[in-house]
Amino acid sequence: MDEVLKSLMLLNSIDSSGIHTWERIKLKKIAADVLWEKNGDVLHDAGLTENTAAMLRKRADENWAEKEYEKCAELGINIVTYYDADYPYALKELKSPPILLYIYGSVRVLPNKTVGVVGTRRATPYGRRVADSIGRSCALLDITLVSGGAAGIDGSAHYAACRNGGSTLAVLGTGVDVVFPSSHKELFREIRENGALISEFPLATKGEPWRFPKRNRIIAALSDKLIVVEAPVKSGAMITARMALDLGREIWAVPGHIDEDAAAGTNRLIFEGAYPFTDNDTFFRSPSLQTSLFDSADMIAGKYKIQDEISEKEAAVLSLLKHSGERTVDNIALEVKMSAADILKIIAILSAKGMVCLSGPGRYSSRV
Amino acid sequence: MNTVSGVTLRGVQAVPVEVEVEITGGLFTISVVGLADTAVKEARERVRAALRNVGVNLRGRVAINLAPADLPKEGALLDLPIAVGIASVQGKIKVKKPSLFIGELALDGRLRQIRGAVPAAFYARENGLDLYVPEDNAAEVGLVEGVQAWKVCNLADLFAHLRGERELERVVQCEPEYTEPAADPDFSDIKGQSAAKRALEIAAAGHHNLLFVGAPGSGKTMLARALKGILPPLSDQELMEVLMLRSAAGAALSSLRERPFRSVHHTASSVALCGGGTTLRPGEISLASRGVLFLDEFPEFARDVLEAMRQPLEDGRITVSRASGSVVYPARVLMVAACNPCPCGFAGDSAERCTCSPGALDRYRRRLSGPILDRIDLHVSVPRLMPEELVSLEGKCGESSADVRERVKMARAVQIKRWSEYGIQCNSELPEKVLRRSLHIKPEIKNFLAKSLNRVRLSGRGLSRVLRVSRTIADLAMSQEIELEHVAEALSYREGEALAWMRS
Repeated sequence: MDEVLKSLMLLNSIDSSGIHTWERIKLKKIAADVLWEKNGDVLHDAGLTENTAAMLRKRADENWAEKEYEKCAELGINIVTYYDADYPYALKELKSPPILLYIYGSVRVLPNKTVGVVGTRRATPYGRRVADSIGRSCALLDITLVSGGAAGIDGSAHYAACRNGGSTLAVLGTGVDVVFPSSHKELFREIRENGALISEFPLATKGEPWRFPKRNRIIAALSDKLIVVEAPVKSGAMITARMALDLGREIWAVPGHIDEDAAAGTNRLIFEGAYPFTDNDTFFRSPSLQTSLFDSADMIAGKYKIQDEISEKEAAVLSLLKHSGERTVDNIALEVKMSAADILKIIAILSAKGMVCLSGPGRYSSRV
Repeated sequence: MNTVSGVTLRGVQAVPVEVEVEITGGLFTISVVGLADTAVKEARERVRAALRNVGVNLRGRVAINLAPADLPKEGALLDLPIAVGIASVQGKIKVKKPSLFIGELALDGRLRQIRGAVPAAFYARENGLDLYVPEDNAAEVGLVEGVQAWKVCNLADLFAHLRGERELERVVQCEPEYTEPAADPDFSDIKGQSAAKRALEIAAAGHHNLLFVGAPGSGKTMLARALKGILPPLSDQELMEVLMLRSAAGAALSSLRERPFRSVHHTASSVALCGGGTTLRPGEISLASRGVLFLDEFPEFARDVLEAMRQPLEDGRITVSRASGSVVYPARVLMVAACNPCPCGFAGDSAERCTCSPGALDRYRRRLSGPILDRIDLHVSVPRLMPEELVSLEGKCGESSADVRERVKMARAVQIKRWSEYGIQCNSELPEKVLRRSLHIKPEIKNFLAKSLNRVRLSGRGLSRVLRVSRTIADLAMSQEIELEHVAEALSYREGEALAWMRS
């Protein structure tokens, strides 16, 4: 095993150290292979405290890095360090870039065209709907969606991206082999198939409250544009937004009801000058997301159009749902004057085509 | 020495027991051997008193052997053969034709009703035996075709009959009558909820498992109860199966062709649900066989109870093994489960806010997931109607239960006819092999399914279930072939589609 990689992995496993510690070690021209020798002064010279130095040496003695490396190889987890060519340039813009990333999934090289989606775990049906439609659009337009793999907005966005054949990255506050929340077991498997789970934390790291804000800086850095779907004023999503702002990323916020806690943060962002996310088209047509210089807005709109043909009756139901929001089968039947049995058939066909979905118990909405 | 034939119950089967009696000189004692349970052991007191009351006095050492010796015997239905055995050893009567006796004795010689008369009747018919049954069991025995049976109301009459002095009354054959079940509530009483009603119709037609998810007060329980009113009557084959079980369990027979509807509280133990206990009794899942098993507040059931139901839901029968042996009970139920989408019940609601913490939500959803959900064909979410929606539905009551039941009956008849060569009653019973071979899936439907696989996340089992439900929907539409719209509808009841709003 490469001594530099080993040193980086060990340093990374100590929470208090960053890439700067390593830079200092390099400046002092200390060779990696003498770093863990009995001589305690070397680490001290590099600016490590007694405690961290002791812990590092203990881990080195236990062959922690070798074991970790083996485990990663077994699971097919890729380790990308700061000095690798594959290390995303965007992360180097951070004040304290992660020393290395564990990448667990089918994506080897992190893409450069990404949209970040963040929001509260206690999402409203409205928030979920928006996250779902953003996820779908990203999938259709081959844009990688970055989010945090948490419940609520994150989950809805990831799901939509995966289920529509798109690529998505989940930046986790735990080790990449830990499933948190546990209900996302299936989702994480899908993300690994269509993208990757990413974390700077060693394998088997459990979720602790302070780790989640820390990973938010990675989400902020990896996103070309960041959409805050729903967030209370004090929340991780708002932290991410501020970090993205510091990095000079475009911030978009989804407007919400003014009496809704979950929208207070996003509305505030808009007040402070974030782009209001008024519809998918405006967002996805903005120049930096276009596939190439020659891709016109209309071409994107064309990709975006659903190709399936729909019958007259289906169109009637669809336009009702588009104009008046969620409805039960009986209400649709009343309003378009068809029998409930016919509506059920039409809804089944429309949802198979992906144009309509259940947005709450027994209530259907059109998908944007 | 003399032997008389009796039976004991093993699950829902009657197993033959030979009753041997020997009387030798000496002081009066009476002993029963042959793995008898307490009810059988106590038979000696009932038999002694009953015999004395019809004029047969016992003296000497009476030994009663119940063969085979290693078969556990249970219940009071061996009273009568023991009494007949003793009387014939004493030469008071003579059993000329091969006969089977069942019945519990009262001290004055009357016969009491017993459990297990129907299995005994089947046994008697198969072995060409004459059957003597208590008068109170005559009604159920009369439903078994081709059995020679006599009603016995007390021991004196039986002895007179066996001596040829008086003739007993024969059990008359009767046709199981069918009364239309009372629909309470009726479909037309339920406002709106067309989607849920449609799912109930499909469930009733093809015997498919169903899950309702909805806020408190949305009407899940009411809908589940309305299922009773649209179930098709039991077919002859099903009736016999249900009859055997009800008779063996001693459960009352109300309207004969009416399907059982068992509602189980979530505090039920796995033994209560699956069967067992020291005396091996069928559980709710067996008592509800060929009918409905309703589990309200589904996630509140103990984990082991739900896990224990997995295998019977798949196989349609349950093998209960205990130290005293193992028995197989039928367990072909239509499971209807109902639950809230989250602990507070308002997740996804259009007006109320869900107040559950993410952690509580996660724990709740975990209880709700798992292999048992994979065995549910129809996932349906039930909307909580807003007052203005209810007002707008005023006066639109929709179809009555009786109308829906007619369609269900027709669809069921089609299924029985189609699968007659396999002895299958409904689409949900279709074995995998038959399913793949006999359902002709058009290429465009195959295409459509392949496209949807990713979105809905179907497992192999899930795909089979979609095909079975599609067949039922086609049967309801009286369509020979499975069309695209049938598959699309079946797919819309999958968890990945119907409960997608609950995810993440």
